[in-house]
Amino acid sequence: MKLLLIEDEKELRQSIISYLSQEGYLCETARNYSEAQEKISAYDYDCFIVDLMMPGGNGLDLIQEIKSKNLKGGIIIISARNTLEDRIKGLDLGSDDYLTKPFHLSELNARLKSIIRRRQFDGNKDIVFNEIRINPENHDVFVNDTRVTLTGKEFDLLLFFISNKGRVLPKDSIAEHIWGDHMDQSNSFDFIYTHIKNMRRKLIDAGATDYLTTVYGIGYKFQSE
Amino acid sequence: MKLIVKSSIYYLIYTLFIFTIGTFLFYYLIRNVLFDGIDEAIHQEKTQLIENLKYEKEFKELHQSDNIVITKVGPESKVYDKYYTKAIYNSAINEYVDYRELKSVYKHGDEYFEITIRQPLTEAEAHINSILPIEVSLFVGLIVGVLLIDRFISNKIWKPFYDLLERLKNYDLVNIKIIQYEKSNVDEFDELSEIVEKMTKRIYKDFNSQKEFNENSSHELQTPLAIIRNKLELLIQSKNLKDEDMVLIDPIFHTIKRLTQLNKSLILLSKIENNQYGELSRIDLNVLLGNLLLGFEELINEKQITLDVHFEDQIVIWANQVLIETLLFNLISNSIKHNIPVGKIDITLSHNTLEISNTGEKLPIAAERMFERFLKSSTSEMSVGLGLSIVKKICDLYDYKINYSNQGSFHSLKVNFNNQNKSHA
Repeated sequence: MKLLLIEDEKELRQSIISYLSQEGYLCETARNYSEAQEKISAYDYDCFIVDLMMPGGNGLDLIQEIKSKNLKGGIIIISARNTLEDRIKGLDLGSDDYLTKPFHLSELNARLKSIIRRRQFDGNKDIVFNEIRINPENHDVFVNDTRVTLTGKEFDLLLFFISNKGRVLPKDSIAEHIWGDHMDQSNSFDFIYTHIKNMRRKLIDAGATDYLTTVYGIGYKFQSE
Repeated sequence: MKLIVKSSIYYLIYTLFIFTIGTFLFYYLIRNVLFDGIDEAIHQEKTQLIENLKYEKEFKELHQSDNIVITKVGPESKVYDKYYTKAIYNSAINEYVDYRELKSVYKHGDEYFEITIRQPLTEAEAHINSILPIEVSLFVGLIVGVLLIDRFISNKIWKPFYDLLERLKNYDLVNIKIIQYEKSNVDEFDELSEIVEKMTKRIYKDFNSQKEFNENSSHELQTPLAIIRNKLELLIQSKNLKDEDMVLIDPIFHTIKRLTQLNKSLILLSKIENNQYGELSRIDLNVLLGNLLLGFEELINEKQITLDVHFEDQIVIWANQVLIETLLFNLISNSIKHNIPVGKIDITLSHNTLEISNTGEKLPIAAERMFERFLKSSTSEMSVGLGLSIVKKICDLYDYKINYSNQGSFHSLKVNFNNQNKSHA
């Protein structure tokens, strides 16, 4: 899997690459418009991560260029601007997702995986994690081929954990993934906790190993050892 | 009162004043001139009479007529001339007639005689009395003239001014942007129009730079926040961190979230102030409110709050979707945030009014200050205190009336969407 990250801010670039390369992606970067244009015409990518504001041009124009060249990669916009017009314009031009800064890396990672999954037209789209198998299209979850019935939020949580397996996930990132970023209730994490507890119980009852560990003070980690 | 009417009134008051004084002065002046002439004439007559009398050997009561009376007076009298006006009854026409009289005492030898000569004033008075109607008609003519000229002035000369005024009335930054200079044939109006153009150009420029500033400040603040958040996410993956390190890092995540919310709210507020939410659409409040409440269901259940929803009327408004969503979201969120455990929320839609009431602690601030920025109650620390001022801003933008009332432990906010695009079902 090859990604192109178009972002002018050095520190952001480094953080994103550091997080994503651990997922096994091959990450390339472009610091400005012309550099991005060069790389787009020279190589094939599975996904483009595009910042809208960059030196030398507008990210929206770049998306237009990607689309006009019929490149097969998915596009995810990362922008500091959270205006409806930008969002609509970006999605109209054919980008797959829109993330507003400051986002969580775990969120970017989950969205990226979802885009890449959706763009795989060949064969099996199931996500398998040891004995757990998820069909993201039908929202089905199986443990050793036994179907587990999860609620919508529990399903989202499981998918988010598996997308970020092996990572420490801060509570905020989990809450934001489930509730969206406008939920500013101080105790929103209490509700997440209930959902996590239920999801965990259902999986264990169906015979799965308890992969979820609490990371003291910060959040959770989903891992197989 | 129109400027033209106001100046006309002063003008007319002054004219009336001058005309009144002028009329009196003119009246007395003419009168004096006429009386002087008459006095001169009767004086001549007296001189003539005395001259004639000198040749009379024996003074008899001669020359008696209607207008001349000669009587003998006592030796104690002195020689004098006296002019005065006197009304004498005329039996022929049955009314008093004014006369100018000269009473003169004259010494003939050792005897004194009093001569009274009079002349009727009928003719002179007729002259004087004809002055007043002339003055009055002049005054009326002047007033009519002034009013006609004023009307002409206000229609013709002031036209560029009223045109400019009309354009200023319809001025808004979204559609008109700049009021262009238009030449008229009056220097002052030209100057005004020029200044208005300059001013609106400047306003438009400021508006644009403000807009840019908002977008840039959003970008400039969100990016460092993103860097901090992402670096922290990478940091907590480290195997070397102890539990107590994690405990220190956790509040940083919350603080970043809080800063992010605050930044977003500030940008939203200034965007509303800058009228950057011009796009209107048809919004069914019942549907929107229903959808939003679904999202809050869990939160409400968690706090064990009883929610009562009464949709009595259907309310449809024309407004900006984002703003109305924000308005409703903040109101609902507010009613949950400031609620007590096992509390109550009542939501009613009726007669173009949305009422959200909730149980809660006593207000920690004065009710009239609750829409001010950064005033927050102590119960919820994550609140940035901007929720209600955003609500107020949105209400102000669309002329919705918002009212707070309180009954015991029940706090209630009422929004009246009483705009012209309302419709009842």
